[in-house]
Amino acid sequence: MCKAFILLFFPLLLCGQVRDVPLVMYATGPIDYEGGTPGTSVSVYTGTYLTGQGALSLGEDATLEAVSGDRFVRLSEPGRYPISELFEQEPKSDGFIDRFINFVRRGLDQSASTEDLEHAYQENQGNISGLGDAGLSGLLPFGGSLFPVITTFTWPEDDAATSYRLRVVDSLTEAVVLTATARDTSVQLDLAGLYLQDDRRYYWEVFPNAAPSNTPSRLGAQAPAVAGTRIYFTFRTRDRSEVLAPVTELSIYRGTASEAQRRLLEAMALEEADYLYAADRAYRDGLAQEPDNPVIRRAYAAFLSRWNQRSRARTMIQLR
Amino acid sequence: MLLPTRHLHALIITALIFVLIGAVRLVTFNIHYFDPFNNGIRDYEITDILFSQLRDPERVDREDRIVLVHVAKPQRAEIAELLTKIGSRSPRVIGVDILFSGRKDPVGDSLLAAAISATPSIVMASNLAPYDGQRKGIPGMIYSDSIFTRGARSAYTNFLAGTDRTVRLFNPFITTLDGRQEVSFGAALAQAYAPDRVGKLRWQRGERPVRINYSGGYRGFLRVDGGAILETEAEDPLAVFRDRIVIIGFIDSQEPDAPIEDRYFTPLNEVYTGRSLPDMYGAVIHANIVSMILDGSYIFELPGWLEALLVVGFTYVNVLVIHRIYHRLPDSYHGVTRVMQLVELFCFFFIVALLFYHFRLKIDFSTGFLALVLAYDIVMIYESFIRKRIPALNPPDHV
Repeated sequence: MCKAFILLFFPLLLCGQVRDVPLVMYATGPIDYEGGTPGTSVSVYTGTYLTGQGALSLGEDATLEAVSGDRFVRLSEPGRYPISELFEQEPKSDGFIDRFINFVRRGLDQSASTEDLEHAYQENQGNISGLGDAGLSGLLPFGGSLFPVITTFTWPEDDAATSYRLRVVDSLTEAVVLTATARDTSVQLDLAGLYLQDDRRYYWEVFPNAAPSNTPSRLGAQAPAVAGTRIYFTFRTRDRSEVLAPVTELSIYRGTASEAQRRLLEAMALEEADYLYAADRAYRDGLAQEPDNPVIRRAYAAFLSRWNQRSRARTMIQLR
Repeated sequence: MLLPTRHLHALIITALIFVLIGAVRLVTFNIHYFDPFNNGIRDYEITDILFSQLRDPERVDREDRIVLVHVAKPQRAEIAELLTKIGSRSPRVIGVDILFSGRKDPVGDSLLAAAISATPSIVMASNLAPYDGQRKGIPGMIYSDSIFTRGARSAYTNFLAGTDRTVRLFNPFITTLDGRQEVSFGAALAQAYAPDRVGKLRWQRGERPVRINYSGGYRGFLRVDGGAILETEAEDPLAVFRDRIVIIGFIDSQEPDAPIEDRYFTPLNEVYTGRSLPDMYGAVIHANIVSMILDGSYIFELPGWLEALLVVGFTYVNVLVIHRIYHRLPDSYHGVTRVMQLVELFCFFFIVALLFYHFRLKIDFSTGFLALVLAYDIVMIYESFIRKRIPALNPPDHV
């Protein structure tokens, strides 16, 4: 207790440049600090000042974020970290003028030709890419409306999970419509058989079931790949053929010999009617027919991009 | 008869430019068909680029006077226990960014009420009642249940933006229609820590909105998980609260797939135009506000009249030059003017960015930029259309 007190407050009394004394901004899990005297260590918590030339030891599931001056470090791998090396390396940092020039350059890239736009799309980590997939990567269905048909719910794999718990919940009443446990990262549900009401909003979410852990929360830590995202959808009892009627009656639809082109037209009509999952299926079916068809590939990429599935959209463009 | 000089022409063209800008704004801002477009444009300021793109993301502005405590969706009894544990460590003030509407279970409610009344310096969250359009003001406040607010101070957590708009401003003080003077959550916390700072803010700004100078995301703040505090039996993890401002609220991770609850758009959002996800929790915005008030690091803004004067002067000088190029270099008018516009835009944007970055001085020069872009066309319209039809604008020998 006494040692901890000294570690916490002694630097405040002695150091003129308090901001340069490394301060732990966030700590979770077993973290020990050897303050220089061999064989002695104290536990590290949020608010601990790391003085001297000791070392930090991170145990399993431990995370530490510390700031010295304006330099930030984040440690999440178990191991021993000498304090002297933590803030030794200056972070990659550009001057204001460099950042300004880069910003203008990115703007010029985006304003150039279509070809350059794709290049900028792939290169930019700024405004174009933004928040990437917005947490939706690998999730299907990812919104919109769903038909009363068999629907495959898919989510990304979580390394620590032994199984997954899927929930379908009424967004208005929070009543759980269905809970299912799956071994794999997808499960097929016949929505016609569930007690879902027409034109009502629901959401689905997945929780990975993992071995028990002492980690209290994911505050500040990398979020598990799948937990925490609620995907909202509207259940509609309309028939697929009814939605597709305006397209299937077109002469171009009936006249074409290409099944892929039909799927493309269907996908567009389905997206227009907000049936995103069905539209996604239609695009995939079209690509299965003609994998190298550039029109379908680009249209699918644009569709994915519009609905925040940018990683997959990028893959579509890159595989041209 | 007074002959028209080039200054008179430049004045008329400048006036035409501003009439056109006014007309365009009137049309685009009032026709609801343009709403999606307008929402994008309206909710955008040039300084957003500076916050989101020109800051150094590697550098963290450390704030060690504030501790953020994350609580997910705890029971009221758990909040009570949390308050008791934190309160026992003598924090300077505890801000609870949770509205406790109504009563739920008698045991939890009474425990929480007792914990709140036993905590000497505590600020409870409240909300401003919806704006009354007819009486033009805030009719009152929405507090937590009276069992919790008895003896505790309440302060409103609202920002000057909804959840669908970027939070750039907040009102530190508001007088409601029933004459009560209310204080914002951030200002109330800062007041408990450094009353003189808030007094100065009130004296300088009164009830006018204040622009938030974001020091950064939540990496720069001390953060603790409320669940971990409840679970621990040790004393040392609680030492962090001593003599600090503690904000209890929903502050999950900053991952894109973290819950959207109580999360807002801020100018720090990487995606500064168009669709994106909210990037900062309300409690972290309050922490930024507290930090700004304690440091007195406000964003300076030029007075409206001075900004308008600068824009008019800038436009006038440019019109004068472009008009001269039109007459002196008619063959290369297009090329020379466009190059000049580009260089000027680049230079002025750089100056605006530099002033904001280094001196926290915000100059809204977007109207000036728009006027510069329009000057090229308006000079041509004036010369080829207007001037030919108004003889008084031409010297006697001018056809």
